[in-house]
Amino acid sequence: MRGGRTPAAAGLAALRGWCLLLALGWLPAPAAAQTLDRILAVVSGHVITASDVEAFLTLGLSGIERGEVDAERRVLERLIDRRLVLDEADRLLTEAPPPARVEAALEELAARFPDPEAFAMFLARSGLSPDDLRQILRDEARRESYLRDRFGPPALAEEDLRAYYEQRPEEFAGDDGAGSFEEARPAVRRRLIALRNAEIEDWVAGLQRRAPIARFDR
Amino acid sequence: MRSDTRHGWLAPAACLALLAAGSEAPAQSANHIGQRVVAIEFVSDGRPVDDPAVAELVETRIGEPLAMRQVRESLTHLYSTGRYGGVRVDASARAGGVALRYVLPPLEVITRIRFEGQLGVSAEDLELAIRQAFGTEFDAEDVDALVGTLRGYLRRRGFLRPRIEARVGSGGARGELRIDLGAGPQALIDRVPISGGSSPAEDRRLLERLQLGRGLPYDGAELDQRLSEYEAELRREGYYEARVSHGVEEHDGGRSVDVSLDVRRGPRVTVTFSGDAVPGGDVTELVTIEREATVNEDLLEDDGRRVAERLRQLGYRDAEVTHARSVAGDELSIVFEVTRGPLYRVAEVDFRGNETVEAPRLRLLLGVEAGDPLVRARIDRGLDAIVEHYHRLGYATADVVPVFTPMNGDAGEPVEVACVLEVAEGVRTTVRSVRFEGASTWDGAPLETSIGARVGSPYYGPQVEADRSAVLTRYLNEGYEDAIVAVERRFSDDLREVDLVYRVREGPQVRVEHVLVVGNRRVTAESVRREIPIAPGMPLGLDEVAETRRRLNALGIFRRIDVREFSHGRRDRRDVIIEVEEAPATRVAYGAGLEGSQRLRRRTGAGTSRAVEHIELAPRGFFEIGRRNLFGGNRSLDFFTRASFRRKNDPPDPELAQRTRTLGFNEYRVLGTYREPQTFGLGWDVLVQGFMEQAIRPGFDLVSRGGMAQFTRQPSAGPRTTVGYRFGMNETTNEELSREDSDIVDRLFPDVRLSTLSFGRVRDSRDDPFEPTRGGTFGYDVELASRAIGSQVGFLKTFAQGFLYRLVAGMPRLVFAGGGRLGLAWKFPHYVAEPSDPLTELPLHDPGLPISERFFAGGDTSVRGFAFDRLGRPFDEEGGTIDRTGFPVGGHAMMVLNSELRFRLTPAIGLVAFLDAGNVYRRVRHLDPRQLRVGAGFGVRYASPIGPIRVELGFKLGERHEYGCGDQPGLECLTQLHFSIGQAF
Repeated sequence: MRGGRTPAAAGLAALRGWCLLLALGWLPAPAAAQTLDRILAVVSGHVITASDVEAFLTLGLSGIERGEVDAERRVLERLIDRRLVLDEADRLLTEAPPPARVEAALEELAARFPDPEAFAMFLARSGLSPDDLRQILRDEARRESYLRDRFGPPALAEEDLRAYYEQRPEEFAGDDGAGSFEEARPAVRRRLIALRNAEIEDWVAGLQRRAPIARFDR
Repeated sequence: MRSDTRHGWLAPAACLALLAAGSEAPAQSANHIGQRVVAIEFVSDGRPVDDPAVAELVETRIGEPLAMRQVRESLTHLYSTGRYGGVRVDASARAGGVALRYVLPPLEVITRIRFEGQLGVSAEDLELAIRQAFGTEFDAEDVDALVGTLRGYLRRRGFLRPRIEARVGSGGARGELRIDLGAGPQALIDRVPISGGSSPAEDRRLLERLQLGRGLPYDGAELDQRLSEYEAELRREGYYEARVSHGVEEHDGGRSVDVSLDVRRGPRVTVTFSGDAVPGGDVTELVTIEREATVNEDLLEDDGRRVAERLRQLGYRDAEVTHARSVAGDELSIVFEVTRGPLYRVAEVDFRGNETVEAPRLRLLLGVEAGDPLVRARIDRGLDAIVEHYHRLGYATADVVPVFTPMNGDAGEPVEVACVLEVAEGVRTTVRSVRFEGASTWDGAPLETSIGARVGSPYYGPQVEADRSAVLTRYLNEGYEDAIVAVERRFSDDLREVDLVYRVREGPQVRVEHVLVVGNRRVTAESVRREIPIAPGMPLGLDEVAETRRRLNALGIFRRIDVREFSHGRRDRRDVIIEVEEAPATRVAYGAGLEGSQRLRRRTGAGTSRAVEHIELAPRGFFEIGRRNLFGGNRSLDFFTRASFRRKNDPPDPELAQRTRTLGFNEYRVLGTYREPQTFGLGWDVLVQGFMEQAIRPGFDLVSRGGMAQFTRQPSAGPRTTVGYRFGMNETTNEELSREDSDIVDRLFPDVRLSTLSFGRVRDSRDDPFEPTRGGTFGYDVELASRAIGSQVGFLKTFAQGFLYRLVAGMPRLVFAGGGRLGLAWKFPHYVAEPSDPLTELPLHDPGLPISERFFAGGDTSVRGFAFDRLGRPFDEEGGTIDRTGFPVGGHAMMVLNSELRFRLTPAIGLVAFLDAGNVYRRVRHLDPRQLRVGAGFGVRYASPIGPIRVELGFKLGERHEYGCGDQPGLECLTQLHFSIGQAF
């Protein structure tokens, strides 16, 4: 048995080797690189980065929640559309909102963070300054203002709902063929909002066809 | 063995510990922000990038804490170069901080195309088809569209089922598109049906002519070319509406085709004129049916109207032209019937209702006089000029109505017509107030200086519009790129006053965030930034961008310059990207040729010796070598040498003259020049030059050698200022002047040391340096030489000149150019040693400047009735500067006045008439404008790429002197012919 191994020792050696291999495979290389930021798209000369997407996701400005399916890609699509609409708003010199409104919106954003330190940490990690956030909020207001001017307000007036219903009551009738405006109001509202959104999407799709857009996220 | 067993638990424990450590690693790497940057590297396409210009574009710095803001800006800067696509920044932990790696995926641009396989046609043809559609460079993204284009081209050439595979950059060949082609067989022609043919025999001839037949290969491109030639031939034969085209039907999977020809000759058209003759040139030029390839009614009516209009322009105001068609077989005859009617002539012109403007002034504006043919269009132009004149005076509603009254009715005689122009002046409107609303950047005062309208000035609509544009330009130059300026005019009830309200919507002011320089290799980015007026924080104005381009172009060190803007997403901040392509650092130029020039030589005959002008031919060559971008800046060092093979001047001494008759490189120039723009960042350009030169001047040879330093400052607006110092030796040899006419200074100092300081300013507002039509140039130089700074002679020399250029009112192709030059010089007192007592110095009586420093005039850029440097009066007259043998000795004062009318005949050819006057005076006290000598003449100019080439003939007006003409003694020549390049002034 001289020089030989007991079955237990051989098993232990195998376990050591397995452990070592596992550890080596699991461990990241000491200098493993992490992507800090990258360009995802360029729209009419405006760069959209991964940190932009992350910032909009964190701030909830895109209407898409973290954790939703394909959230990052959908936020990027929204940012591309946003830029196209802003270019149109710039072209038509859409007015910026009053500074007080922007400040109020900024305070509201900061209040979403647990404390000022968390907000400051967010700014540092995203590379944005409070001034940048003001500009983002100002642009959001201008974008909404432009869309409101072009496609009407998203919050529909009662008379608009009623007028739409009265033109086509049969489309909102119940199974028994009867139904009042009061009963149909939610469905009318949903229909009108969907129509407005579809109109905006068609228009933005037209902008996308005309504008120079370079995508680097694929 | 025991110990092994005893410590066997360590392995799984270590394993768990490592696993635990591994699970914490992402949290650590996510927290690089704020750590010190210890290394930065750039990688593109898997290879490191060591271009310092790239490193300069990033905002992250080694040794500084990592900030995401800087990372974001760096990404934008790198993308803005236009070289890289989805730029990425990776961070990894490194001892002492964080290491950054910028990954730069190159944007693929195709510059080369390589074809492989069975091409069917030549590679050149294929490449040409692609280049015509996509240019010389195109993105890799266009490859699919390119394949479609190529497929279409091959189908047109008869390869109906081509196989095309395109690969970008395969085999590591960056920028190359490799196209593997299987063109397949070229389709063969099966049948050729012809529709519209006149007869079977004609059809056969047509097939032979078009090289079409069964079994021949089909090439649509070549066939279209032949059809086009055939169509043109039919048109020349009078078939103005001929149309020939072809169609294709495929068979056998693209192996054969039926080619159908559609031939539509249309009628054969003849055009004739009958009735009255149409004077004023070839009337058939007015008929356009052949050019337009149609004989439709509208076009024929237009042609008839054109002929009638020509007659009306000649005074036949009742002229009528009708046309008639007649068809016989396939012949269509079109006859224009011309009825001229009587000739109308203006008998008199009278004005009524004019109170503010006198009739003579109105008559001048009308431009029509008694005796002129009555042409309504010409009178309308005159009426417009009169109304415009009233508008400028503030009569915004002024109107003029012409009344024509025939004065005779004799048939066959011209009809004399009295023209009475009824002027309704209306009320005069003046500006009551000027206000600006919405202009928060400036209050009213600075904007008011931008506009021409003033309170109390006449209201003139176009001026108000020009003012609006000027205010807008001011905003654009301050970075308000979205600014809108509108004018509201509020008139009083009686229209006598108007309030002008300029409403401004400023929009955001765009400022420069960063100035990024890309594409530079030897020239540092800092050198480029120092040169330009744009800097971070400044408003991004239109003028600054234009000035940036101008200054970088003026450096002459870049082959290509592109200035563009790049947004960071904010409306009020913009990066300015300056992309340059450097010219080669070493420049070598050389050339040789034959120079023809007029020279003044001594002609010695029996008992006579005098100056005679000769046209001399001399071989001439130059060599230049220069190095630009020295030491990473835009400094340059140049060496230039030029030599002509000719003989020297002939001094009066025959023995001496014999020695100088030898041909040789007797005229040469050697220059070594160092230039450094924007030296020390103070905005002054420095030029240091060493020179050695021998020139054969009229009357003497001059050898100069020395050096000079010159500092020049050229602001973007305002005059150019030059300060200089020159030190050198001027040696005058082979002087041809008669000794008794030579200045004592020249005899004392044939080799004179000069040390001079100079100062000069030039303001140039010309719209074009080669062909100015407005603006002017004004400047002066002062030069001081003194024994105190090392000169052997002391003097003060001044030279001033000014020229103006204006378009002649109402004649857009006629430019008036005029101006003058005045040179004055004073010699400081000069002392020489008393011959009997060398320690005593005596003042020289009326010493002059050395001949090399005196003024001369005459020649193609001076007074053009005279030869080069030969303007002057005889030396024996008071203040004369032409010696008794006809050579110029120069003077201390010079005056030249020039004027010319430049008429642009065609874009390339111009005519000129000029009137010049001038003279050279021996001393300043002799300056007398009454003694100016006058020359006048005319010439032709050709606008070549190197400037206008001029041929001009000048005539001497007034008294001529006994200097001889060519070989003939007696009076100087009446005329002087000049050939030259560049404007006279």
